[in-house]
Parts: sequence; C-alpha cells; structure tokens
Amino acid sequence: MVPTSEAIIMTSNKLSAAFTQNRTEELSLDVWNDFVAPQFLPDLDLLSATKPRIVVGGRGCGKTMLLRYYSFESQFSKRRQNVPPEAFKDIGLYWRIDTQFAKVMYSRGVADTEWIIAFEHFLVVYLAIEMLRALDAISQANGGDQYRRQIDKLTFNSLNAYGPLYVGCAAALKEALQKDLKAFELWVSNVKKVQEPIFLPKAFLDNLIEVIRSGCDELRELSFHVFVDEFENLLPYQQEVVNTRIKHSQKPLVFSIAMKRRGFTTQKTVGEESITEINDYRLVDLEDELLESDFDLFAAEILLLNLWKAGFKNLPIHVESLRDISCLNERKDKDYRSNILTFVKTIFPSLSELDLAESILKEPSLRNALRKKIERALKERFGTSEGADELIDDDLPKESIICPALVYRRGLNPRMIKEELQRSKLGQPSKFDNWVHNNFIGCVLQIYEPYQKVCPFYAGFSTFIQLAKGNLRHLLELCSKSIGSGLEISGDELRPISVEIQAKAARQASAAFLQEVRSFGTHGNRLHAFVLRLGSLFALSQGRNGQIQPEVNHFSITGKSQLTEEHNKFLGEAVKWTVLFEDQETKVSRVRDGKQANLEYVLNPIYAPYFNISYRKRRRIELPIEEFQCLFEGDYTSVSELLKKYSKKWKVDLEESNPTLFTHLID
Amino acid sequence: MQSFRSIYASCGDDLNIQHCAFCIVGESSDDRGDAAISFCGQKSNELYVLTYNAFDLQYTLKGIAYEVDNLEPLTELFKIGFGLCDTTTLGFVETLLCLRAFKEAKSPKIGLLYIEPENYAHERTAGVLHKRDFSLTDRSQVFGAVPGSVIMVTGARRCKAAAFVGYEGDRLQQFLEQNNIPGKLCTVIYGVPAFNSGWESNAFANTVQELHERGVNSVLFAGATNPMAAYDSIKRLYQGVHGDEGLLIVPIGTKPHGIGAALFACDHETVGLVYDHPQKKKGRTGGVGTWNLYLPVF
Repeated sequence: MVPTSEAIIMTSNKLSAAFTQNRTEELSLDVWNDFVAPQFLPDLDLLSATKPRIVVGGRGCGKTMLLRYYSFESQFSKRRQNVPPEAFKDIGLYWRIDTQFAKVMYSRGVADTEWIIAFEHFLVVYLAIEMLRALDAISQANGGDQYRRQIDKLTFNSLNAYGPLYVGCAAALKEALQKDLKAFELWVSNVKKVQEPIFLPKAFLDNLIEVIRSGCDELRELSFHVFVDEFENLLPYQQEVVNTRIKHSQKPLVFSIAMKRRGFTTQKTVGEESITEINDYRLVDLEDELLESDFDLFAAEILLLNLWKAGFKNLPIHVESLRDISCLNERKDKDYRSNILTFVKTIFPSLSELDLAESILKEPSLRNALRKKIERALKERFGTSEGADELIDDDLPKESIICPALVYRRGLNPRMIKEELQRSKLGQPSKFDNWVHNNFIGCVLQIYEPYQKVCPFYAGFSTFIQLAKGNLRHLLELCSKSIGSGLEISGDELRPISVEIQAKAARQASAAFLQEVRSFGTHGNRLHAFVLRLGSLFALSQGRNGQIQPEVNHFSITGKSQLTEEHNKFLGEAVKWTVLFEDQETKVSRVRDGKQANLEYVLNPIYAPYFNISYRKRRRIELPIEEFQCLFEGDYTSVSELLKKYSKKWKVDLEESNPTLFTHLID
Repeated sequence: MQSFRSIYASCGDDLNIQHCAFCIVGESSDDRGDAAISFCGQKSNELYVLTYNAFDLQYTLKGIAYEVDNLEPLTELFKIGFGLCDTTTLGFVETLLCLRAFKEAKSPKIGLLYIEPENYAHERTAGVLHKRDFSLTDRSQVFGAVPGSVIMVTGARRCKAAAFVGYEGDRLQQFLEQNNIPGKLCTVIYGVPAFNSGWESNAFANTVQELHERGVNSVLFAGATNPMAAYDSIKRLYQGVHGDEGLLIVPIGTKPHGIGAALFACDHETVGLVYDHPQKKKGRTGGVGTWNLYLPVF
C-alpha cells in the first residue's frame, strides 16, 4: 500500500519528535518506557550496593538516563506491569541540583559556615519530600496494594521534636516540608529581607526513614539511594557537604553521584577527611563500560526503540525485553544480535572501500579531480604530466585512488608504480596491498576536499558508531539528521537512506556539535577556538600531497614538563567536556629520557566530518610546547602564521583546499 | 508599576531632561556609551559609576563594594531626587538594582536613558570560517540566578522560561543547556520590529537551529526598543503559570527588553531571573542612533 502524503507527513513529524528528544532532560522523570538496559547494568549494582558509586562520563553518554531509570518515578512507573518485591526494598531518589539556584547560595553577607548548614538543610528538606513522594509512588505501583495500606496508616508525630508542623500522615508531612522548601527559596532569594528559616539537621532524614521502616512491616528493610546528578556544577563547599554524605553512607541512606570526568573541585569533606576511591566509593566510567560492552548492539537497540516510539512496529526488537534485566541474556544471543545489526545497517548502509573507490571513478567530476591530482604530481616531480591515464585503472579502483600520493613519494617513480599495478592486476602479491591499507582513506578525503560534496566515508551505521565514540546523543543525532533528510517509507518498511544523505547529515551534525562547544562552561569560547585551530591543523595535514602521515587526528606535546597550571587546567576542561580524549601514547618506539609514555589527546571524532579528516585513530602530530601554546592562547596573527607555516612545510595549496576552513588564511 | 512613558529623539537635548540630582552610569565600550556618559555629565555634577560583580555577588557604587542584598546605599541615593540611569552602559543587573532601589525609596521619578546603536557588527553564523572565529573571545559566562529574584527549578516542579533573544545564538544555547528546562516549556521572544529594519533576520538566523533542535515551538515578538512590549509579553506568559509552577525570565535580548524584564520582576517577586553577565566587547556596535528616555512610575 502506498502511503498517502498525509500519512508520510504524520510519520515524519512523529519521527522528528521521537528523535528530537534525544536529551533525557526533555523526557519526564519516568523514563521506564524510554530506557534500554545495557548488558553491564547488573555489574553497576547502583540500587543495592552499600558502597556509593561515582558515575563519570561525558555529555550524552547516558548518566542521567541511568540515574532516572533507578529513581522511584521509573521503578514504580504505572507503565511497569509487574513490579517485583525486591524493587520495594531499595528506593532510588534522583536529584539534579538546580545550578543557577545553588550558585547564589554564597557570600552575600552570610557566613560560609552558615551557608554550609543552609545547604545541608536544603538537602534534608528536598530529600525528605522525595522520600514521601516515593511512598506515594509505591502505593500506586502495580503490586503496591499491600504497601499502600500500611503507608496510609503511617504517622510521623515523633518528628515533632523538630517542630510542631512535622506531625500527621505522610501527606501532611509532605505539605509541611514543601512549605519549608518554599520558605527556603524565599530566604535564598532575599537573605536580608526574609527571616532565616530554622534549619533541619541530617538526623531528620534518619528519623524519617526510621519511622517508615518501623511503621510498615513490609518496608522494614527499606533503604534509600540518593543519586546526585551534575555534581560538577556544585560550589566547592556544596561538594564538600555531598562528599561528607558519601563518606558516611550506609544503608538505609546511601549517596551516589554522577558527573563529568574531572568533575571534582574537591574531594574533601566538611571535616578533615577526604573521600577516596575503593575506601569510600567505587568509580564507574560509563563511556568505558559502554565501549567495552557491545556498544554497537546497544546503540542499535536504542535507535530501534526510537523508531518504535515513532510508530514503526515491524522491527526486530521486543520492546519489553529491552528494559527487563532478566532478558539480558536473551539479548546476547548471536542471532538476535545479527538480526538487529543487519536491520539497522540496511537502513544506514555504508560503502565498502571498493564501493567508495568505484564511486569516485564513476563520478565524472571526481574522476577528473583524481586525474588532475596525478597530472600535477607527475609534473611537479618529473616535469611532465604525461602518463596520468595509465595510473587510473577501472579494474583497480582502490589502487588508482592512491596513485597521486605514490607519485609524490621519493623513492617511487611511475614505472615502479605501474609494475606494482600490474602485479595487483594479475593477482600477485604487490606493494599496493600495504599502500592501500595505509593511504586509501587519506587519499579519498583529499579528492573530496575542495568540493562541497561530502565524502561518503562518513556514512553508515558502523561509521556513526565510530563518530559517536560511546556518546549516545551523538549517535542519535547522526541518525536523526539522516532520517529527517532521507528516510523513505514503503508501507510498513523503512527504505535504506542513501550514503550521500547520511554523509551530509554527518557534516551537519558535526557542525552543530562544534557550535555547541561554545556552551561548554566558562571556557566554552576558548575551547571552541581551540578546536577550530586544532582541527584546521589536522585538515592541513590531511591535505599533504604524499600522504606521508595520513589520517592525523590526535596530538601529543613534546616538552610537556613545561606546561603551566593554566595549560593543564585547560586540557582538563577539554577532557571533561570530551572535546578531547586522553590516551596513553601508542607506538612509543623508544623510551624518551627514561620516562614513561606521554599522554596523547584525540580530537573527538564527532568533529571529523566538519574538518573533512579521518575519525579513525591512526596518526598523531607531535606538537612542540611553543606550538601548543600558540594554539591554546595565541592571537589570530600567530595562529595564522603557524597554520601557514605548516601549509608551506607540507606543500598544501590553500587556494585548492577546503574554502570553508581556509579562506581566512588567503584573504 | 503605575505608569510608564517613553520618549525618543535623534539627540539627547531633544529629550528635554531637566537637571538631575544624580546620574548613574556603567563603563563605556563604544561610541554611544561615550555619548551617554558625556550627556549625563552635563545633566548632573553627581555622576556615579555602578558595576555588578556576578562572581562575588556584590555591586560597587562610588568605589565601595556592597553585598547585592544590601540596597540601602542605592536607595538612599534615590531619596535625594530625580536620578537618571544610563542603561546604555549599565548592565542588566545594575539596571535592576537601580529600579529596586527607586521603588524602595518611593521616589517620584526616575529616568532610564538608552541610546540605540547606529550599526552593529552583524555576526551571522555563516558557513565559511572568519578570522574572528579563531580569536580568543571572552570567557563564556555561566547563567546564575539574580539575587532577589531566585526560584528553584526542580524535576518535580514545572518551570517555564521566557527568553528574550538577540543576535547571540550561543547565549540561548548556553541557557537551554545549563538549565535543563525542556524546550516545550520555553518561549522565545524576538525584538521585532528591530532597531533597524532587517536586523531581526540575524537574530532569527542565529537561533532558529537551536529552537528546532530543542523543540521550542512558542515564539513571541516585542519591539526591540519597547520595554512595555517586553513587559506585556512576560505578563501574558505569567498568566499561564498556575499553582506551584515557576516562571524564569532570561533577559539576553536588547537592553529595552531587559528593562521590561526588570520592571516586571520589580512588580512580581515570585518570578525568577537568570543572567550570564557577558563581558562587553569593544567595538561591537558603532555610531550613535536614536536616544530613548523611559520614565516608569511605581
């Protein structure tokens, strides 16, 4: 049945809506229907462990979704058909502290010690309300009848030691505490005009929990697990207060936090101690967990869930199983995996290297560009451009693509290249086997570079996985933009999205994420400028004619010991916001001065399509400290001098290069 | 607020401002700022510089720093007589503090001066990179609540946002990113008509992508030079806030819009204000355009 245009528009709108909500913050607090359980979920043990967890990861890796999944709003969701008895023992409370509110709880004529007590009061009141809301959710959950009867009979009169209003049933207590929160909000807004409230101590929470446990037989083993999200946004003293809760965590009240990498301003508590890994908490790096588990499958399942939410039902997933921890083993089945990945790769196909090469030779403008590159190389090296056509062979498309680079190589001449081509043609071992492996992608990107056409190298689900590098939001955005531009529906079936549309979508997403860097905290503007500078340098490297160092997209710094605190802080920010990834140096061929391998910094692959560089981690550039300093803090003149210096060194003709990136250097 | 009048002219003298008891100004970063401060200097011998430090949560008046919650020094000033506040050079929070102090002082008269730019360094986010993209611009600012107008945004409490926007799309992006308010609860208010015809297209171009990506569907328009239009836009949204819902105002559009937002916050203590306190960029605007005088009465 051919869908009507109205049906197509409605589906398109639903798809758009389903994929626009790729930020968890856009969803309600109940994410039961939106959550897909990753394979490593039981290992995290977030909801039953006594030891606090510190979950780290970049934006978009799923920290908030994970914590909201464990919160009572999701665990006791009305959409959850069967709530198992164990769910009523450990209750998750999600708390994302309002940053703009927290940041004015400071100075203003109020002593620091008073702010600490005020913040603790805020924590107590907020969490007490959440505990009572959790009781409401338990009462209304499927399977919650036996709890409701007991919760309804609870009275909190013993709390009147803290004040005459803390009496009565759960609803009355909640109302009193909500008034407290309102009063606190008013006081924080006007610390001089409004009377300071009476601050509640942490013991209030302990007593509240005790009343619940002793008043409800069914909840006598109840524990609360508080998940504090975006910890990095707290002021130092606020972090100390939460650190203190972590330090003293034990059932029935355990605190865990989620933050970006390097999110600790301090690990001190309000006392003399600090919190340390192993002793006080267990660190969970969510991106590492995602990448080490089957990220491809997990990402595909999330993608399919979004399609299901948009109304497509003919999909190889069973939605209920995705969120059910007891079904994790089923989802490890080889056939299941194969079906899922085949399905998504059909919608988001990629080109093999052979397809890529053939498509270049078939497209007249690209074939012409290839021939011109060979001609120029021959002319520059040998004084004549004759013989260029002999280096393009439709039976050897991949080999043909890399010939321009080979002509530039000292030690090679056209005769030698033709001999190797002949060997390849005859199916004999040839140096092209190695040459193609090392240079093919770099050469492909070079052919596309001067044009506004986007290279199909950036298309395909597997490619999107690499571009996203464990970031689910990036992946969904890549898919979303592709779907928005090019998804065709035929009845109930989804047709493949062309590689051209996918590649264009990748470029658009890359540009959008690059623009977003400006909003990365107080260093956002500087980080953005740094990425542009660094990306331009990598793009210049990409333009080197001989492809001596193909696919450069990361760097190390020589003379690292000269880095100042400011430099290290900036690099820390770049890592925190996953603008850069930090790795141990690879392929250290010799130990320098007896020292350990250096760190190397990889530009987030999501920016690769914008700069027309490779997303695969292949080669690095070693930046002397002065050049790093220039990229970090140099003015425009010194940066443009540096880029021009490299363009000259690498013999990159700026006028023939990507106009988007390099026009400013020519003007 | 009891009444509001606005007067505009092609030069300061045509505003017919009589002698002022005092003038409050900020720091100038362009031609119109210079012109405004010079004009204020002619209107009163008592010229005071007021600045706000968002990091320390203090304001400085006559070289002395005060906690932001201590408005007494400013209030005492407004008891003296007619004060002219130059909002061309004053930042948003400084303007708000002046209005609060004026209201507290129960002073009969305040004048808010604002000079429009004649031209603006149009920075549409274009495809081709420009050398300015490589320049190290000022530190990005993080949005923080403005003391005196603080509300708490929590998961359980619905909070709407009214964001006035100008050319800088990244400021809107920063706000939406930092404050986790779903796009469907945000309303964006553009300055239309703009200072000059056609300028609004830059604001649209620099923000439309963000609106689309965030699912922001609610858009209003208020004249870029019209504080009362801004006030009325907020009022319209405020009337749609029920029960425990909150309304957060984000005055990152034109200065007249900021004045409208400040007036509304003075009248309604339950709304929240957030601001990012950007550092002024020298040479960002050029020339001296229309002179405006706003005369609110509480």
